[in-house]
Amino acid sequence: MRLGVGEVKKKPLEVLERKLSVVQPTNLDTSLPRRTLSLCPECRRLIPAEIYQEDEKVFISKRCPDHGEFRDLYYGDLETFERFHEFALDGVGVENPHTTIRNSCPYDCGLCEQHYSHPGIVNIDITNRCNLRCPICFANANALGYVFELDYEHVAAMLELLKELRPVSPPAIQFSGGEPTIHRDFLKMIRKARELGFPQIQVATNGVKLADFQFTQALVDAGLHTVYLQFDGFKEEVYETARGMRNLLEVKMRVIENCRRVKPEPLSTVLVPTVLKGVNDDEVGEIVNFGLENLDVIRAVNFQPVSLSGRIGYDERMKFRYTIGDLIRDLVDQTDYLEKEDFYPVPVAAAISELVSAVHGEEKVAFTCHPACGAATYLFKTDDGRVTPITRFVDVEGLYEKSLEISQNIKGKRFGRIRALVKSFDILRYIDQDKAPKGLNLRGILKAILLKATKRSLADFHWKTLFIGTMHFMDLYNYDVERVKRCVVHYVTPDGRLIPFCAYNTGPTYREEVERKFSIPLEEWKNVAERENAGD
Amino acid sequence: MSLREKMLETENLDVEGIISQVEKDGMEDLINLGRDKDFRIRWNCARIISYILERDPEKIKELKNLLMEMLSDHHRLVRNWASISVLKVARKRPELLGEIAEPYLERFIGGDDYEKFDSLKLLEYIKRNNPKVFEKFKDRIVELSKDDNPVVRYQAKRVLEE
Repeated sequence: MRLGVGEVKKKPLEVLERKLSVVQPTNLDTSLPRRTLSLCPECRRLIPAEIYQEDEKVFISKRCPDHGEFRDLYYGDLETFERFHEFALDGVGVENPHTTIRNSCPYDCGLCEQHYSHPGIVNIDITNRCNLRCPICFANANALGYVFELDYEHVAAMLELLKELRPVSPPAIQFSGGEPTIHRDFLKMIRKARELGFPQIQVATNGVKLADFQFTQALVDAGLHTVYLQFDGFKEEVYETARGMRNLLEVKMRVIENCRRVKPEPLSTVLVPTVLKGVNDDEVGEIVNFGLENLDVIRAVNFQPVSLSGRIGYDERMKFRYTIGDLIRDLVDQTDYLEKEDFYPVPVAAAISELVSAVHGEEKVAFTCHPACGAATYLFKTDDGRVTPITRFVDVEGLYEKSLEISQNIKGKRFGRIRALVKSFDILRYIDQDKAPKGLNLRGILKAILLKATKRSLADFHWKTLFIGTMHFMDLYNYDVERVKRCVVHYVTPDGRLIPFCAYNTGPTYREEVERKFSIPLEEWKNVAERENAGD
Repeated sequence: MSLREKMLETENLDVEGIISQVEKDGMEDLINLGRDKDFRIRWNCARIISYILERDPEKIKELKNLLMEMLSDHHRLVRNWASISVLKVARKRPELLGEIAEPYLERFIGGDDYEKFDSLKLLEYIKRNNPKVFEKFKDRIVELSKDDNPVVRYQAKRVLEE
């Protein structure tokens, strides 16, 4: 229909039937003991497993007909495990899956229609070359004898694939490897990601290249938002053992300083400690304190309990096995401001996503991973040095329940945007402004998030806080297919697939498949590199 | 430990040991295991074959029939690794692919997105060497250059441009 002069086209979104949903009630069995599917650590065959409680901890046991019994610690604290499961939510998956279901999870990646979540953060491995030789590395770059390295145009196509994902394009992408910063087109790739409008572009790095200030500034100029910095604590010997290099701590400190100095503002830095029992678990509190002392540049600490690989007996595994439950207990013991109850599982945030999606009539990313995959809290530090966890002035459970309730009320009804917004403000009463740290207007920030739903409104929140997070990536001993199905951290592959983190690096180990497909022998690569350097 | 038992050690697959044993005893056992009823055995056979063919593409003459079967295997991981094996040969010695190329493309080019990608990768390698097959699939490549998946589109355009 053509509009006549003076007629105004009605905006269809002003009054819309709000049916949008990014979460749904979970169909996960949250009781104990429970059955699940796992993999044999020897042959990777799919086998039934049981998750059960014992001595206030949670264990997994399974039996492979060919390789026998396996038992492992699944979660180090029963109470936290059970509390976290009360917040379980499933996502709605992807509308445009790239593979069909032919076998079963995790052999059909991906993503297939069985996957419950949409990707929240996507890794892009651009090279398996590295400037370190870490014995604990997944990618194990140089030892493999082949080079996997993607060219710029190929990576650009992979980024475009992410932009076309429905219902939600992942807001965060992370260049990874190997060491992504040594790729010759790395800056160009960041620029492309920026051009495509990804709100959060980050790099997972050992930091060696960022010890050069000019390079760090170049990353900022290209459009990088965040440095995801390997940071294993303050003991030099840990770096020597885990990373195979001396003086690496000094390098990390220089990187943090460079990230602070860059213009126009400090480059947001996330410390990423890989934690092993008996190696650096005694430093987790100190690492958080260090983050709080450097809040102008360090935005988060994201602990990663180690994922064990290779053939290791139960007793040996238990020497190093470290779970989210253990981490939370250690953080409580090693700091004077944290309690166990300050931590919540990741899907809590998905309730807010659901509300914002309903209000704005547009799907927003929802982190609907399995409750055992991760945990998080926020810390606020005031000028007098006092540290306050968010739970001391926010009723997180109330906020979670109310967000879901309001979303439910809005959905399926003809609501104007303004009415929906006003209704959503009901959640603000779960913030006790009187108990909030001085100068922090969390109600205002949350209001802005509900009003604008942009990254900028979220950034106001993040820059005043330290996010403490943890993700425990699985290994073959504690593998739970229910976790894979709900994964929100994926890899995009050069052949156009999206693969959950723990299927890519463990389980079917798509990493090996993908790298073999796109790699060339190391010697051949060296010859090509030499020719290119010679200008041939 | 028998070759079959070794093939059950997926996580710690002794690639070099198995290849040495195959070199010593011949391909027959490997080929038989490639038709085993257990997918883990077929999967690991396909993994081993990818290494063998990367080092010596000529060996495809002995493995051709098995690879053809593996490309139709009901288990995705077996098919994926068989495809990698074919691509390894195609990259180094496309002329050795002979009659495999066409059925490979017929099976994969209408598959999932990554299988379409693999087909296009194969076409990139064999384009000059096997113009007849390339011409046969040219219309399909043009179609794929407008595919919904940007990675498939990228590879299709690359094949058409080169």
